[in-house]
Amino acid sequence: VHGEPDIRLERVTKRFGDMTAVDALDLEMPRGAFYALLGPSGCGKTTTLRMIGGFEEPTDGRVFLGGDDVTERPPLSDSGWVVERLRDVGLVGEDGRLLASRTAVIAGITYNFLPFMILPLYVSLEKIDRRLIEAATDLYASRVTAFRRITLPLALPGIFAGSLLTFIPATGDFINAALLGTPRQFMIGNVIQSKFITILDYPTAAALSFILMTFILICILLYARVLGTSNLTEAAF
Amino acid sequence: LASSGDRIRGWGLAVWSALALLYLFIPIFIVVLFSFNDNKGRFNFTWQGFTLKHWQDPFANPDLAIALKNSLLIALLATVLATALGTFMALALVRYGFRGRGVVDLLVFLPLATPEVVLGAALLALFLTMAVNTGFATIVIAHTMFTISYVVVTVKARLEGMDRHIEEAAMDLGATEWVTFRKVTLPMIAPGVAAAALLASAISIDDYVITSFNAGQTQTFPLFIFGATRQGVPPEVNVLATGLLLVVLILMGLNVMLQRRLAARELRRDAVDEPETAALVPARG
Repeated sequence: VHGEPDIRLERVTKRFGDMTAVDALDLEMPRGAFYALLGPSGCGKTTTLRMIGGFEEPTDGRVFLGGDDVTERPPLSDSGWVVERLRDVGLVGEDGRLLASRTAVIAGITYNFLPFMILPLYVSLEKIDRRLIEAATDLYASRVTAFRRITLPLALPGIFAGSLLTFIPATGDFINAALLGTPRQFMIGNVIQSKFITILDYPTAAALSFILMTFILICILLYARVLGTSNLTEAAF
Repeated sequence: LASSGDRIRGWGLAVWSALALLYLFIPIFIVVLFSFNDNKGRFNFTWQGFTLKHWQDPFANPDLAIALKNSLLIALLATVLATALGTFMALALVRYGFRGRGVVDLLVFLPLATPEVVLGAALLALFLTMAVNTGFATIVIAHTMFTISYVVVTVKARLEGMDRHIEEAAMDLGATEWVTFRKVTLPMIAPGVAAAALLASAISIDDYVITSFNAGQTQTFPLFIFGATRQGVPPEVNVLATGLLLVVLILMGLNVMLQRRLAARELRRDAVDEPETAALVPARG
């Protein structure tokens, strides 16, 4: 809409403890206009700019950019409250961000494929005869020993099947890296996709797909050699 | 006799499971919650008040409506094709011995064990060399192709648990192969076929990776969402996603109810039947 201000501040206030840096500031800047913020050191120029840029959340009031209310930062953004709290306890990396990082990509892929691990594990744990564990404890095995000698070996097919069922799709995934990461976190899937769709370099893309496929076939053949294919399909469904 | 060690273990396990469940369900909860968000502007990332306005007109965005319609139609077509083909493949693999059955078994399993990006790229390469224009039809072909494997595996599991003698009994009583299939085999594997069809349609609606390779100019629901992430996902997406979630939950509830009713019926029948004939009742499960 013509005449609508591009940047609008409504009674924006920022306090740091007892100190009030910006006090109920109203400001409107139309599109294309030049403004200068003047004032002595420490009067809140930088704080105001940081609030407009989204690096600082106002204590009170609202900030609008082109009609969008951007006062509150999304909780997981670099200045959102979740990331701020994590930063307080030192749980975010040196660059101080959660999104657009390797952690975010790994968390996304983990979220995507967690059920593919849970289901095979559940199937193989459910099949274990509880009396075996009872027998082990009757024969004076401690709980840890019973787990290590009985439960774990019997659950192994499930663990392997789950690992395969999560690892294989995860190697080819490119959505998580594209949405939650930056080009620095791109995976082989992103490369294949961009070579195929954007760069139209079909031979390289085909070669990369084939290499990935061969690698995974080797994994499956090794698995089938050790545990048999029926185990895998059974655990998967 | 619960020692303090057992109690600590129990608590630890409970806390750990709760954390895992939170990790799984918080994102879904956020999607549902933000379908009620009164967002100002393009972005729907921060809570700005409760509203029902997005629910009153979920198809306000025409592109989104078309994308959802495409997704549902593709899922329907791919499910019908894959279920028909996959059921008969499963029958062939379980009931008949033929040369290369083991190889076919492995080949059917292969698409399940292949990264989707490889499948998508391979299909696109095929369509390119055959000079087929990608679009609605190629998406249906692609979805049919990779959902068949899920159908075969699901129906096969059901067939393997089925008693062969019942079919033999039907044929001994003079039923032709076709009548036997229609009156005996199909009713018995029906729950497996239904489960396979549900699975196939769920996977088809959800698929982004393979579709993105073979879509051409056609938009599907996942493609629309991915494209929209750059300019801010409209809250109508949350509304429609919540709607899909509700449909799936209802179908799952119906499935559980149906299984319970079948199990109860079987129990009654077992109680009435003589022990010898009870052995002929197929094991359900």
